[in-house]
Amino acid sequence: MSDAVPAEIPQLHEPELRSPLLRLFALGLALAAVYMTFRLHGHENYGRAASWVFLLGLAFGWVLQRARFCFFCMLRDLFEGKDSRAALAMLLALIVGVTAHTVLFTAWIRNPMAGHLPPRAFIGPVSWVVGLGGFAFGAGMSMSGSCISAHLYRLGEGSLLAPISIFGALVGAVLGLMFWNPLYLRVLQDAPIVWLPAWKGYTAAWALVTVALGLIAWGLLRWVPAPAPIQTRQRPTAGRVLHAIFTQRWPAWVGGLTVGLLSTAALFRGQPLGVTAELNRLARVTGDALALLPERLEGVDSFRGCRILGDDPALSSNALFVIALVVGGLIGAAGTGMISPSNPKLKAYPLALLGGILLGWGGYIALGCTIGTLLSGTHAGAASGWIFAVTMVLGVRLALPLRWWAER
Amino acid sequence: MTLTQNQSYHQVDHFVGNTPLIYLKRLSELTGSTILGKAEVSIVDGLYEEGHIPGASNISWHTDLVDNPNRDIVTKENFEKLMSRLGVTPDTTVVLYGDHDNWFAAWGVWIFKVYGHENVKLLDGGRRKWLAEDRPLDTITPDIRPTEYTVSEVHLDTRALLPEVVAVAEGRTDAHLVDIRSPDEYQGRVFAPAGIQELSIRAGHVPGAVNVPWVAAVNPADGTFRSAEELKTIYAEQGVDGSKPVIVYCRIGERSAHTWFVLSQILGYEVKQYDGSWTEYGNVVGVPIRNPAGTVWTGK
Repeated sequence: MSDAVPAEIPQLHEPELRSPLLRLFALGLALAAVYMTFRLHGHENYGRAASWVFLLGLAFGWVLQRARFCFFCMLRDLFEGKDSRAALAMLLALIVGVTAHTVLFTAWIRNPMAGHLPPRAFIGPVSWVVGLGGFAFGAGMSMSGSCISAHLYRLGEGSLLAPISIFGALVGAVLGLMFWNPLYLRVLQDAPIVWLPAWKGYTAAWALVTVALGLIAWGLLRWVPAPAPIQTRQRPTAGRVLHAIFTQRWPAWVGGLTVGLLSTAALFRGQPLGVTAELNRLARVTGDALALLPERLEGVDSFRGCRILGDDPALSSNALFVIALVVGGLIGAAGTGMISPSNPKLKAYPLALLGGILLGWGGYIALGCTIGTLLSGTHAGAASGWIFAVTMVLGVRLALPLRWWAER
Repeated sequence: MTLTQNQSYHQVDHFVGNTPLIYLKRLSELTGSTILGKAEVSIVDGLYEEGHIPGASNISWHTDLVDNPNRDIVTKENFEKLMSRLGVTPDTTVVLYGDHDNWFAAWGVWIFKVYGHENVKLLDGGRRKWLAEDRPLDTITPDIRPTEYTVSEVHLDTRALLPEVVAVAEGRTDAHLVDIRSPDEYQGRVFAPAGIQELSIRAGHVPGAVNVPWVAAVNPADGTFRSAEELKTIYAEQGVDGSKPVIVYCRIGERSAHTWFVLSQILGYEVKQYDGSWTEYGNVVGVPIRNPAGTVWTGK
């Protein structure tokens, strides 16, 4: 694909490959994925939980692709284009997720101030390490063009940079593992685990977060572009509805709403959303094979987040999730009937690798990325998620000129 | 929820202690650990579904631990099916807990011991204390890989049947009988506690039985067991000191499982649980009954 395309085509999602066969392919893939979901359910090594993980991964990948739910694009729109629609959708995802998680948590823990954490939720240690991780991750997003989850769903869109960035992230995670022990022993071991509802109860935590997000949203309203001239409203027909779901890009807010609910469903039915646990496991296997890692990684298992789980000979549940996410993204992309591979400039490649390394390293030391630490974390009321969010935005903004340079 | 192959029973002991009880703090430190099986045995319908200790499976007393429609304990085959469904191997340490201060969970411990599964513990304070401490509940049911559990030995010496109890009542066998029902039931003032439908035709108790209500064994505040020293004194005051075998009973045999646990597992006495209890004994023709209050069915 790469050699035939002239270099001056801008890196935008211009439709290049249109074919009804693509739709057929998407349909076949979707059927295969549904079959896989049932197979996993009945499989003796996997079972019901794995089946759910796979289904959620498919849904998440498909939704991310359909709504182009992408943290970097959102911030870029905001900083460059003064267009805040995607950012508002992100805030909606946070408000919906926080609210739905609160509903769930009130069923699980009657009194949040009693000193116990809700089961499974990604509530990580609070220290400068998660801030540094967020900052590095944000810079990596600007340099590589998106965060890890978006790289994953873009694999299905034919992105050429995504595999390079993901490889970089693997390298970055190995680096994170190599220097984990001192970070743990000097900082993380004593770092507090802060769950917002534990401070003054559910109501206070929910109100605090919602009001803060509401105020940010209010500030962003001024950058919502003037609406396009109103089209003649048409009666919805089956064809138009299908077109809106499978071909047209979803309105940003639909993506925000869906992501907030999916994140809650994931926690409810198993593990919170997260995409780096498997990457970290691969990094550990790789690092061990190359004899780069210390013999013991201290305290990794004591935290919640996208940490490395037991070394299962079969596919780990996070691996299933990531595979399903990529497949879901591919179904979404092919389902539109057109695929638009990007054609980045040469200098974008090393930058993608370098950015990938920062993504992997930052995501490792922060115990998760935009999905595990930011989305799942803030939804769960984890202070660590908010710190990651703030420093990540800073990282994106400061490294954004590098992106401009790469695309110039 | 099951032991991995290379983890031995001794390692489990190291984690949970070689006692019949496990304490809440310890259990919640082990939450998410793979060395324990956890199961809730509650009698109130829907409690487990409403929320349970994270990682715990559900055991239904009505269908999993008794034999239906016969009045009997669960059969060996059905117990094997239950354990296989719970993913238990002979090496798995199973922690049971439940509502009503562990009445039914204690019954579960008794059944586990009857079928030779020694690695079973009761969570001290059960569901009540877990909730009182505002510990987290979960609504997800654990995804468990079934095992092929087989029972290798059956210990029916922890169970007393009617003839044995009659023999003690008639003085042909020497044993301590402990009636753990309320003083009103023991004295024969009522046939059964208020609101209970399952009655016996006669009121009173088995001759020779002493009355130590089950609740004497727990701290009223949180449902945890009293200390072994306190327990020893409480039962010794009624003459039950472990010098003779003990038979415990109540109305249908579930509360007495709680006292069976105290006397056999905490104090180490030789104890049998008479699960036929008063609803069997009090309906049998021709057995001796002591009825201090003299209440007669439909009379008085």
